Amino acid sequence: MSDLLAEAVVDDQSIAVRTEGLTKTYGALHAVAGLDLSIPRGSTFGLIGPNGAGKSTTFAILASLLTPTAGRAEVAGFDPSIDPVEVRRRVGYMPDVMGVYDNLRVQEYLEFFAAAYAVPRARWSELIGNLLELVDLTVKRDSMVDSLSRGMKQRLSLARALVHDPEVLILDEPASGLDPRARVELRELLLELRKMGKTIIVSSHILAELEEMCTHVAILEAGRLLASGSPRDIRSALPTGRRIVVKLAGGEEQVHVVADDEEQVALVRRLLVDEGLRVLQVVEADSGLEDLFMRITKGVVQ
Amino acid sequence: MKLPRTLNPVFARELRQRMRGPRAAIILILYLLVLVFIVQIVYFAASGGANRGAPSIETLAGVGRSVFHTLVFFVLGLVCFIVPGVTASAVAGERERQTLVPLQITLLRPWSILVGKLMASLAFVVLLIVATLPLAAVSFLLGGVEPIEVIRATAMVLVVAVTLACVSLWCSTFFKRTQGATVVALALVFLLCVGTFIAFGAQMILQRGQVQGRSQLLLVANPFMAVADVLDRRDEQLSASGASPFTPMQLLLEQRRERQRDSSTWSTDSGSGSGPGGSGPVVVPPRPTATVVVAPTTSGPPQPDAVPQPAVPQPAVPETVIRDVRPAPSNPILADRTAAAGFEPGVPWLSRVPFWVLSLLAFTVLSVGSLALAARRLALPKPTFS
Ligand SMILES: Nc1ncnc2c1ncn2[C@@H]1O[C@H](COP(=O)(O)OP(=O)(O)O)[C@@H](O)[C@H]1O
Ligand SMILES: [Mg+2]
Repeated sequence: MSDLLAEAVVDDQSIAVRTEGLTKTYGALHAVAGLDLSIPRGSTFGLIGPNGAGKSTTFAILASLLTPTAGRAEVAGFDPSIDPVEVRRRVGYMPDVMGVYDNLRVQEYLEFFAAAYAVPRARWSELIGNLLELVDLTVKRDSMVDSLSRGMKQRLSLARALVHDPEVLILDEPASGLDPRARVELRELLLELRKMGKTIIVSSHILAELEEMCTHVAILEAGRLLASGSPRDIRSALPTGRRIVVKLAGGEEQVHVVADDEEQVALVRRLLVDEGLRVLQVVEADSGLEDLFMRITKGVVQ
Repeated sequence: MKLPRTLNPVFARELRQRMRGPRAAIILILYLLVLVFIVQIVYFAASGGANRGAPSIETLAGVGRSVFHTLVFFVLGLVCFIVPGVTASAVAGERERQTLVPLQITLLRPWSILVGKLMASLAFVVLLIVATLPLAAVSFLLGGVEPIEVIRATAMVLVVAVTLACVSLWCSTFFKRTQGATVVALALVFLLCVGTFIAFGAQMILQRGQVQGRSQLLLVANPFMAVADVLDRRDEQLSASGASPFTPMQLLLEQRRERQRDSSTWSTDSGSGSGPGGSGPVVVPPRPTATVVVAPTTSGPPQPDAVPQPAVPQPAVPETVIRDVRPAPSNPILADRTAAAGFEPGVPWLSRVPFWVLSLLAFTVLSVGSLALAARRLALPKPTFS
C-alpha cells in the first residue's frame, strides 16, 4: 500500500506534529501500531478510521494524556510524555466525549478554564467575548452550560480548547452526533480557525465530512496507517479514478463514466449536452474518500 | 459573584456551583433547628433533677458541660458522615460527567486541583461547624466550659474534617464511580471511628485486661478519642450532672495517663492493671525483658528477676500519694534508648507524649499520605525515562 502514499516533503521547521513508530498496546491488543505521521504547520489534518482504529488513543498520546508503549511523538516541538506541560500550553484538545458542569454559566465555564490555563485576569473579559463571538454563542453568555443543545455544547467545548490560544488543535470526532446544520457550522468554524493559522488535527469515521475541509488525510485501520497525503493525491493515486453516473431526462437510462478529475467530468457533461441529450443529474457513484476508504480497508476490516 | 484574584480556580468554580440557589441556606437552617432541638433535650435531661428549687452553680456548670460535649459529639458524628458524602464525588463525579480530562490537561497541577476540591467540600462543613459555635455559647452562660476548651474542640474537629476529606478524596481518585468512592470512604471512616475500638477491645481480651502501650496506638487515629482528649475531663464535683458522651473515651485516656505516671518508675507493666477503680493487682508473669532495664539512680523500686512487677501495692494506697513519693524520671534519654532497643513492650516514651499530639501526628500522616496518593493518580501521563 505504500506506493499509494504521496507524502508531501516538508522541512522540519514547518512540522507541527510528528510521530515516529508510535505504539500503544493494551495487553495483546495493539491500539496504535507503529504510527508515523508528520503534520505540517497550518494544515488541517484528518485522521480517518472505523471505530477502534486507534484514533482516540493517538490523540490522547499527542495531548499528553497517555504514555506510548513505544515510539515517540513531538507536538509543537515538545515530546508530550517528557514535557507534558509545554505541550499543554500549545495544544487545545477536545475529547470525543464532552461533559459540561451543572450549575455553571457559559461565561463562568470559560472563566474557569481561562484561570486554569493561567490567562491573566485582565484579559478574561475580552478573550471570552472574542471566543463566544467566534463560536457564535454570544447570546448564550449567561445561559447554564447544561441547558445548551448538543451542537452548542460542542462549540463551547471548542471555545474552551481555544482559551489559551493554542497553536495546535486536536479535535476527536467533533462532528459525531451533530445534525447536518451543526456540521456545516462546525466546518465553517474550522475553516476560520485554519485561516487564523492554527494546525488542526481532526478525526472522524464520517468520511465525507473531512474530505472537504482537510488539506491532509491519513487513513488508519487497526492502529496502522494505510494511506496518507492530500485528499487529491490519494484520489489521483488510485488506478481506477472516479465513477460518474449521469441521469438523463425522460427515462430510466443512466450513463456510467469513469473520469480522472473534475475537468473530465465537465467534459463528459458538455459532450452529452452537445449531443442534444437532456442531462438531469451528474453524481459520483461513491463519495470520494468513502469509496477510497472502502477499497483500502477491504479485507482488513473484520 | 465576584471572587478574589488569587483564588484556586477549582475552588472558585465549585463554590459558584455549590452555593447557587437556596439549597445551601436551607440545609444550614435545618441543621441549626436540629441543633437547637438537641440542646433543649440535653438541657432538660441534665437539669431534670434540679428543676425543683434553685440549682446550684455546680449543677448548672454540669449542665453546661453536658450541653457542650453533646454538641461536640453530634457535630463530630455529622462530620464523619457528611465529609465523605460531599468529598467522595469530587474527582469521581468529574470522571462520571466526563469533565475530568479537560481539567487534567490544563496547566493546573494535580495538587492544586486536589486542594481546590478539598477546600470546596470543606467550605460547607466548616460553615456548619462555625454555625454551631453560637449554640455552644449556651454552655458559657451556664458555666462549666472554658473558652479555650471550645477553641481546642473546634480545632480538633476541623482537623478531623480535613483528614476525612483527604481520605475521601483519595477514594474519589481511586474509584471510577462516585457510588463506589462514597461507600469505601464511609467504610474507612467507620474503620477509624468504630473499627479501632473493636480492635482495641479484641487486644484487651487477648491481653487479659492489660492495656499495652502499642494497643493504645490503635486509638490514636480515632476521631472521637482525639476530640475526647482535648475536652476537659469531668471533675469529681460534677460527676452527677456533668454526664458527657465522651465519658467512656475519657476513662480510657485516664488509664493511659496513669500508665504515664507509672512509666516514670521504669516499669510499664506494674500500673497497667490498675484503673481508676483499682480492680486489684492482676497477676502477670514477669516479663523477662524487664530485667534488662537499667534502673536509674533513684529510689524507684529495684527489679530483680524473681520479684513480680506489681510489687508496689498501688490499689491500697491513694493514687496521689504514690505520685508524690515517686521521683520524676531523671534520665529520659536513657528511657528513649531502651524503648528504641525494644526492651520495653509498652514503648514508654510514646506514652509520655500527650494523646492529642499523637492524634495530630496520625491525622497528618493520613492526610498527607492520602493527598500524595491522590495526586499520583491525577497526574498524567506517568513520566517515561526511557
Ligand atoms: N484503556 C483501554 N484499555 C484497553 N483497551 C483499550 C483502552 N483504550 C482503548 N482500547 C482499545 O484500543 C483500540 C483503539 O481504541 P480507540 O483509540 O478509542 O479507537 P477509535 O478512537 O479509533 O475508535 C480499541 O480496540 C479499544 O478497545
Ligand atoms: Mg474514538
